Amino acid sequence: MRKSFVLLTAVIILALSFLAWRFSKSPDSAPVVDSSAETGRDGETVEVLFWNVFADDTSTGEFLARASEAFMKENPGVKITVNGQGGYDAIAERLEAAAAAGNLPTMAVIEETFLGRFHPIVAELSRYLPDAVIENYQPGLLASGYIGDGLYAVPFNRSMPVLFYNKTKFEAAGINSPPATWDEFRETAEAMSDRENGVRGAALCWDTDAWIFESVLYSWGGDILDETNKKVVFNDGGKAAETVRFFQEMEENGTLFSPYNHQEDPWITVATEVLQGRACMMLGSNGMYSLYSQWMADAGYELGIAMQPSFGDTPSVATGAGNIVVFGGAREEQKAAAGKFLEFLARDEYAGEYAALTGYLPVTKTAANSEKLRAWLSEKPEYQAVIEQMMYAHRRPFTKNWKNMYGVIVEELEACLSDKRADAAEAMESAAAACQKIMDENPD
Amino acid sequence: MKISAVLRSPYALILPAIALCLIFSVAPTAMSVRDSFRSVDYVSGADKFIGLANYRSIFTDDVFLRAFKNSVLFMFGVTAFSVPFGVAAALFLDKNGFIRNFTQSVIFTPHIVSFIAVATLWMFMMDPRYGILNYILGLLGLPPLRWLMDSSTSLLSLAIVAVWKTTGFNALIVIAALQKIPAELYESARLDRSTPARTFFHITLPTLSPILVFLVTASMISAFGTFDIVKFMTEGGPRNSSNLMVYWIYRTGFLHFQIGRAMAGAVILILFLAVVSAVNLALAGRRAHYQ
Repeated sequence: MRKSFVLLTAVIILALSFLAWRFSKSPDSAPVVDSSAETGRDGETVEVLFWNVFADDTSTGEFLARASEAFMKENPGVKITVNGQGGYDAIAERLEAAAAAGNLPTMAVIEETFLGRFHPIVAELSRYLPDAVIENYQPGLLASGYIGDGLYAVPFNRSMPVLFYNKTKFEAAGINSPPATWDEFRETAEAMSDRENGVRGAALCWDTDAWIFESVLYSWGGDILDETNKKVVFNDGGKAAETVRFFQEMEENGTLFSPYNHQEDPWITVATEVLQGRACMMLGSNGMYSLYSQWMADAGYELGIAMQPSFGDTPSVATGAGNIVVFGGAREEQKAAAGKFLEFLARDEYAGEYAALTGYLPVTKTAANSEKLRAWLSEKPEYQAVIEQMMYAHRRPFTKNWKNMYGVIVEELEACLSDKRADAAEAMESAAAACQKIMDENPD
Repeated sequence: MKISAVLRSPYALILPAIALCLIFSVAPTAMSVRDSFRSVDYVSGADKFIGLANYRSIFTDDVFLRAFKNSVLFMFGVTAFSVPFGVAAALFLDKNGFIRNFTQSVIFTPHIVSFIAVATLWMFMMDPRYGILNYILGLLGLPPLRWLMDSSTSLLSLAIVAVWKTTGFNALIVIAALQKIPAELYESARLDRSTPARTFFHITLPTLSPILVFLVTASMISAFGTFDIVKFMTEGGPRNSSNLMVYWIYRTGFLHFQIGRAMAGAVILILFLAVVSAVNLALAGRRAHYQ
């Protein structure tokens, strides 16, 4: 009896071990794409699963639904399924899990810096996109899609930090132009502040991935990593501390609103302050332009938009937001179909419509000059400054560790604007040391 | 012995349970231990043996050490309050009557409400600007606190929520145990003119001791493994002041993509909890009175 039990148990353990071995990934196996999308043989429909950052009921979600519908009419052999995944961090997390499970979509929108993480599993795109289409993308936006000479990502919903300001309040105060430098930013904030009535001249959110900090640092002449992408340099010479101290001082003297003293989402808090007239300007993504314009109009204000202030004569700004990648493990016909869809989205009518609809940057040169966008720009002439700002795009950090690193940086940045005991020099020094440790322990 | 007889035997009957346990508990634990000695990257497919490097790395990581220290503090803090509060509430509610039965239901409710709802509720109450807790502090003439947003109060705030949520469950378990204490013991105590305190310390508490051992052990394990309120209420901040072990493991593995380090943290967690449970049982073995 006991022997039989031992035998049965041994059989089960052996079977489990076999299954574990069978389904565990071998060291060099590439993650595979969702098998539900593996079709296309013998003239069957090619299914392309596209993970998008935005929810289906947002303007981007609705735009993609319309565009994919139109694409499928033109290409009856292809079925595009767009799924909103709920944000850049969420999509990165799900892609990680999907890669482990061998269940990747065919293509996805990722925050541009996440190419540093996912490049081992994405396809080189020049095989699937005509040269003319590639050459038509805005060079400043396409740069982050290249690794060496290979193109691995193309721009979709791309943005840059811009200065949003309450034009109505500025005009009432006799200020006719938005600040172009950081000194002017501080002076304007001082002039617009009404401490007795709780009005601050400016509001600042660093962003969940330190994007605003990064961009401000570039405009200060700093950088996150050196040219080799191996050495953390953001606080070399105390540059980051100097940047942070600038805003800390403004917060201390009551001219800057910090959302980090409040429990609500920092972006929503900052936008609400500006919207309700309790703060007069803020840095934010141009991708929010249409939405903020509407909110401000509803509140009885006119929203102004301008380039991010600079430290000297030459501006330097971070690019950001979503690039599209196609996963290398997809079937060849899926990758080809995904390439066709990318080509479709890069057409002037779609790239132009998307920019006008959301305020995101027009990702192609011809879309920027398209009739649709020109008509939109004639109503929003200030937006031209944002398009011009693209020529000052600064390269972003390229490392698989960036997500880990910006988590550390944001912790310290938030503390500097919420905790009176926080010392900017110590905070940035500690963040830089922690980031270097992360990079040293996990080399790319 | 024929195989049909084996299949009808008790061993065969428990095999499905053993198989499920192996698949969903033993195998993942074994894989965690394995991965804790490896450098694993699901995206690039890299997977190589690196010995104790992950352990060396986490023991020199200030964030891990902070999360571990926070977890130990949180575990003792939550247990030190939720178990005595549970016993006190049980003693008060261990009688029949509409009010007490109703209160029993009310006090148990937090346990069955989802942690997300609990967290949302407490976030409203702890809001520095609009929260009722600061309003009450104001009425008492005390300065407002920044609760979840201050590194000196964030862990305490989470502990308050955890105590509030678990006290009702503890009370219910103790009530069930109280109702099993033979009435004759109390009758004898009354005849001997024992004071209520003496009766509690010499009859109630010793008789409850097995269940208290269970509650203390379960409460410590549960508190040390807390994840949901950290994820939803503070994400470990500010400056890791409320970061706990399981959240650190999640963040390291799934947000920072360092599976090997996360698994090393998970192994430390398992070992620590095994030691805590063993110590609890060993200490309690001497003092618990099993009937």
